[in-house]
Amino acid sequence: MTEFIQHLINGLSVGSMYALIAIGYTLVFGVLQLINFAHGEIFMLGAFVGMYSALFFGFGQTSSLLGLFLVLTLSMLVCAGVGYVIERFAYRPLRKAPRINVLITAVGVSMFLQFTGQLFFGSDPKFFPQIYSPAGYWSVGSVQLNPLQFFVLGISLCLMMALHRLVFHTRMGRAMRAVSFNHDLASLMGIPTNRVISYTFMVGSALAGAAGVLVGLTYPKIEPLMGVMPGLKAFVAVVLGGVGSILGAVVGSLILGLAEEFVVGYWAPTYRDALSFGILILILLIKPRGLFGKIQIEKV
Amino acid sequence: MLKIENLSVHYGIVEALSPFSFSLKQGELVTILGANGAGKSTALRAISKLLKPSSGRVIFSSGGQDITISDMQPHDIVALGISHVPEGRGLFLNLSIFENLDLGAWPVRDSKKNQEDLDLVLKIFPRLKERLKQNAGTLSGGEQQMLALGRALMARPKLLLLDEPSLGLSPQMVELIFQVIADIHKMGTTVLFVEQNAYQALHIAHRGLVFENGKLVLSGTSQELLASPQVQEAYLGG
Ligand SMILES: Nc1ncnc2c1ncn2[C@@H]1O[C@H](COP(=O)(O)OP(=O)(O)OP(=O)(O)O)[C@@H](O)[C@H]1O
Ligand SMILES: [Mg+2]
Repeated sequence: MTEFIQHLINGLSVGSMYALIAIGYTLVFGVLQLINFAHGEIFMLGAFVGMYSALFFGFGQTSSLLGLFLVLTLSMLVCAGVGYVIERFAYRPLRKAPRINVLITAVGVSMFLQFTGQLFFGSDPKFFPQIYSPAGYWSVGSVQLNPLQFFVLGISLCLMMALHRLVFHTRMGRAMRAVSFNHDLASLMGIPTNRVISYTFMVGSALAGAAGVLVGLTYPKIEPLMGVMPGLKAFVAVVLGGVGSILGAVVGSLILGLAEEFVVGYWAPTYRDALSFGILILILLIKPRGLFGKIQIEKV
Repeated sequence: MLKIENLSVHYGIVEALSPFSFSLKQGELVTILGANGAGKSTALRAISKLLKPSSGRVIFSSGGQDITISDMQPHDIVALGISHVPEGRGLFLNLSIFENLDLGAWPVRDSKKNQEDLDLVLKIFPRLKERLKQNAGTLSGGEQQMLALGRALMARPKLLLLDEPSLGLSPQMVELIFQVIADIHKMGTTVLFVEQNAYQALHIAHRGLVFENGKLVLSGTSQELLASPQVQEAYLGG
């Protein structure tokens, strides 16, 4: 039982990290029908911005909640900016180009960020300062729970709720959904589609940046290629949940996180990554629209 | 109010519209007639800049100013007061009826005006009222056309471009939609609408333009067109 609960919580933690990344994938896919392969790298940048800003401000010696929120905000802002720049200069000029060109550009941007990261941050793993580390453990019966995990889970939940509000209860969110439905129609309403697309990139990137900081907090070793696996996993989660659906991205991520944790915990410790890709292949074979999806993804 | 000068459109290398010119005075109600594939929708799409014209320009006069809208982006044209209801209604089928109407109000950044407009639209189309929260996709064809018209009104347009508003509707519904178009015009909106239904269109319009194979071949007052042998033969069953 103890073990079960521990796996459950680990699974949810990992899943919620995937979810923060996956939401960005699915939002961007919604407005541009583009799998933004560079999205995992934004997550990586988020972690590094978190690390450098924590070092700059001297956070990490003592546990500071205020410090964490400052670092989190900063990282989200910088990532939003990077997301804006990527969209503006790499993707927007290709708006009318065939989809495959944009896809290849996305892979290019992803590699560019990986290598630039290695150049500037060095390719060896860095230690992420423990900005906030609640002391001790919570004991529930015989189960020992790490409060940090709950804290991180809580923050990601808040971010997801904020996103939900933004998408479903604001004017801009409504514009995002209109653009997702059809660019031309949205522009006939007077909606500046390019601005909405930029905004979507910024929101998605900010969430990925937040995930970078939160992952740094829980697994304090960060390196320039750290975005690759979570990026791919989040992509799998999106396909699992149904491309373009926000709920799908969250549910898919939680399922994937839990599945990984339980498979690794009870059955085959070395199969963590293989499992995700097994799920990807299965979903594409059995239910290519995913659990909540309306859109069939194109084979490219 | 609207002046089109030598506008032409190509799809790739195919010329869909040969250069044509016409102008529209404030307060007019004008119809564009033509067979399938004549280029009517293409003309509207070029005015609202969904398509980039290959030559010519479109000038919109408003408040004593002449603005070359053919250089502008579609959303800026909407902000000037030109609303385009595209062929097939162009509803957001993933959004509710209310959300569709509210998106129509995008250029009007004033919630008091939005509410007034919403009340007006719901008075014109009471059938939308009970269903505000439902998905636009659940509406019948006629109701969808009502929503499309209502949504366009929410933008308080000075010029309304309508692409085949009667398409696929029952005779009573066509009657109703034409009545509403006439009413909208009476409230002071200039209207340019595309129709296949020449008889009814000319009945409410002041003037008509006839397109054939991408060319503007005929234009005149509704009386002239109704009397013209060319129109009678092609659209009014001889
Ligand atoms: N996206 C496109 N690409 C290539 N050709 C097109 C495209 N859209 C329209 N055309 C062609 O341009 C011509 C004019 O089309 P348009 O849609 O303007 O006709 P229409 O008068 O509106 O016809 P309908 O009454 O059937 O709606 C047609 O020959 C059509 O096949
Ligand atoms: Mg047409």
